[in-house]
Amino acid sequence: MNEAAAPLTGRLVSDTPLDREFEERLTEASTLAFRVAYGVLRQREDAEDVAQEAAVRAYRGFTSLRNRDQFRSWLVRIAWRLALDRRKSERRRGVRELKASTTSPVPPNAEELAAGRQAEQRVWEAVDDLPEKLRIVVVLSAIEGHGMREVAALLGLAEGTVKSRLHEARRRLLERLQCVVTGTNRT
Amino acid sequence: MRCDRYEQDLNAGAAGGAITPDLEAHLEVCAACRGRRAEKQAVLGHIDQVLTSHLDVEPSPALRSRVISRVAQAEGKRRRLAPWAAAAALAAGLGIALLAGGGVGRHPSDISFERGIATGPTVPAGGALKAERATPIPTVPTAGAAVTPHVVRRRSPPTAARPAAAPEPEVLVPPGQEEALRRFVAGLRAEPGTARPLLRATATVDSPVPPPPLIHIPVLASEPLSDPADPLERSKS
Repeated sequence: MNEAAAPLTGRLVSDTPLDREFEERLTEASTLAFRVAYGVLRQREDAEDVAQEAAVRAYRGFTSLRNRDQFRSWLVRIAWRLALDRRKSERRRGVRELKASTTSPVPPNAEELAAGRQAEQRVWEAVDDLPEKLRIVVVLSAIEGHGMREVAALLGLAEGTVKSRLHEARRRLLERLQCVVTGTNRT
Repeated sequence: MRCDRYEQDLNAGAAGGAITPDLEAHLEVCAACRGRRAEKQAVLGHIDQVLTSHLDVEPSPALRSRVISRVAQAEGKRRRLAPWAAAAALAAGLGIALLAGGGVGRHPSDISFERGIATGPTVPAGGALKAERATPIPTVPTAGAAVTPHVVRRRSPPTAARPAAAPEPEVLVPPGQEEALRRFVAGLRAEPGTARPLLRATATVDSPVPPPPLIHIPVLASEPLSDPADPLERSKS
């Protein structure tokens, strides 16, 4: 976790040992939850809303969490799921708005990809189109310099599984985005 | 040599997969494929750079207070909910108890309790639910039934349910029993706490009501008519 990240929590209403433990764990993991949500939503406000909601849900279920050492991965998964749900609902709204406006999407080309922001958008679109189990591996790997072991711990998966998923995800991203540089050097 | 057949292997190798010996040998002799591999690695590097830079984002300082307030709000709701939930559970339990005890299988003796006077006869099971509220004091015991002396008891109603200055409740009295009830109530007022029998028992378990006399019905002599269609009759003839 980035040590420079500002903790998201302060003091809760009560001061029981359980609440103190929750607060400590939330302080340690909430920035990661925010970033995971941001990786799905790419909107700061939306990601913060999701981080809040994830914290509330984690608080409600904290007493039933058997292994408190897994709080970090638990919170990450809550945030991930909430962000996906929010994204889906936003997409449904977006589809309706898109149908109403009857605008056609601009086809991708090399110039757009080469142009900074457009290229980034293409990258994120490609990430969004990945299957969920590949997508979360890509996002977690890109956050805070997580290695495969850390990603595996966060997802509760074997390290080999994470490695193969990450490889598959990168291969798909490459095939999707290689139009930036390929097409001219083929022999 | 066509290099297209190495396309998949190049992608897999650039993405971090193993490089096959065949591809490795080809890369040693094909500068174009080495260049393609470098381009693919550059694409992946660009992807990594985009993702890493975008996700190295800090939450706003205002989020701290927002998270605190949201969690504290949830905590407050939970704590406020606890006594409310207990009261709701108690009310639900009382409701169920009232339904179970008073709605379906309530004994007729309890019906009049709500009106201030309860009767305590042992009513046969078959007639319990059919007992009418207008006749809470049966005067004629039923033969063969478990019979006990009919006593009208006055239960003290809940103080919270009825104030002290409230008028006496109405009591349904069978015709002809008004005087007996009046005497009973007067006795209660004269000697509170000692309930005297309202009615005198006319029968007890020890002295059951004698069965009614049997009616002798003489057997009538009759002769059946012969039926010519009956094969038995035909065989007789």
